[in-house]
Amino acid sequence: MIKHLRDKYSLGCVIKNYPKPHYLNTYKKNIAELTIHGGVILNDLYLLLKDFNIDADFINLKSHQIPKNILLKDVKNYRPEKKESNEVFRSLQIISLMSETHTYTDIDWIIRIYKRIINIATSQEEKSKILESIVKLNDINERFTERDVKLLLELIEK
Amino acid sequence: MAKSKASAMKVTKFTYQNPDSDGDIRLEGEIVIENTADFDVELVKVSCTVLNGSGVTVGGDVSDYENIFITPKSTEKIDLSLGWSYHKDLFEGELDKMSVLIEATSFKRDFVKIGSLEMPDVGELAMIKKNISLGGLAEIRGISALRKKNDDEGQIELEIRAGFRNISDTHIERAQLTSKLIDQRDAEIESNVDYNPVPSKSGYLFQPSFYGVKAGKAKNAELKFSASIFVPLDTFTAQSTATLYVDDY
Repeated sequence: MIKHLRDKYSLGCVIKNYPKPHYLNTYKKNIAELTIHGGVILNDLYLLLKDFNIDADFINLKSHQIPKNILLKDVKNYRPEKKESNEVFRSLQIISLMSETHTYTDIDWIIRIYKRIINIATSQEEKSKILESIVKLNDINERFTERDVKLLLELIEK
Repeated sequence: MAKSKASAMKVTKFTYQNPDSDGDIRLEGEIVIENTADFDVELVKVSCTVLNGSGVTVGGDVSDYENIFITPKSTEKIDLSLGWSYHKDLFEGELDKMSVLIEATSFKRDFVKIGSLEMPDVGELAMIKKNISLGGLAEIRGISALRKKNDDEGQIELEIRAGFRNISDTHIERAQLTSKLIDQRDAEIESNVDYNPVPSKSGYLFQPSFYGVKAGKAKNAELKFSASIFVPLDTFTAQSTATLYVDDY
């Protein structure tokens, strides 16, 4: 079955439990069965293997981990979500996810992120996006104070 | 495990959608994690337990996030896998009372290039005759590759063995061996990734295999091996109550 999944659907199964079974034995005396076709969701395959005491992860031929909510027929064309590659912009996205926080601990965390990206920002575009984000956060979150803004602006200007 | 100060994890999204025609509910979530350690994080293991309004388990999931890379002092987002098959009846009519408990562990990676072997002829045994150390915590006691006679379809039969030993007092969540079969023109024919947890003072036998490789293709080929171990750096916990997600489209 593992060879079939690899040849037909480009799906690699990494079997995690030890001792590694060399064939599907009915360890739990189960008679679970599943017809394998393109419309099978990986989670069903995962649960079937579990019924045979096999714990598996799924990867494609490029060793990208495949989420279990993908259909078998989609494995071949699966591409992991493309992340923002610019670290400054990626961090600004994270700050925006945290922007509605009500805790000062999170505000301290956000300031740590700002300090870090101010340090690594080199282009004018990066610096203006940081500035834009600081102003916006100051508008929407009262725990992010004028004092915090001033401190960060001074760092940008250095 | 490295003790770091003020390690932080925050749930930035935990939502449910109204039940579909079958009564099933879709859950989505995401967290952000700060790496306060001095090492890159290259694996995060996250377990989620979904509770109904009575605080009783109705679902959950455990996932390894291995495509992640968090440099020291930086923060990254992780989309949560919360499991499937949440029927509305599990929540006793109080969807907005459901909550999730999240535990995460970050891991650093030690990587080593082990070396390569020429493809042995049929009936021959090829060996990497050395002990390979992985960060002083683990070792691989050489690698053997026995080429048996080709199968009925003219495909190679290779039995590869690599004995991995955790000689430390640290639990290795993932010991990983990557094997690549490279043809004589330096193109990759096949690759294989195998991993397993290896508790302190124990071992694991890697037996990577290559399927469906014709003998002609494997002529003058080379077997390349590398290994990694993932060692825990930090642990995080968080809890969140769900909010309704309304799809505007």
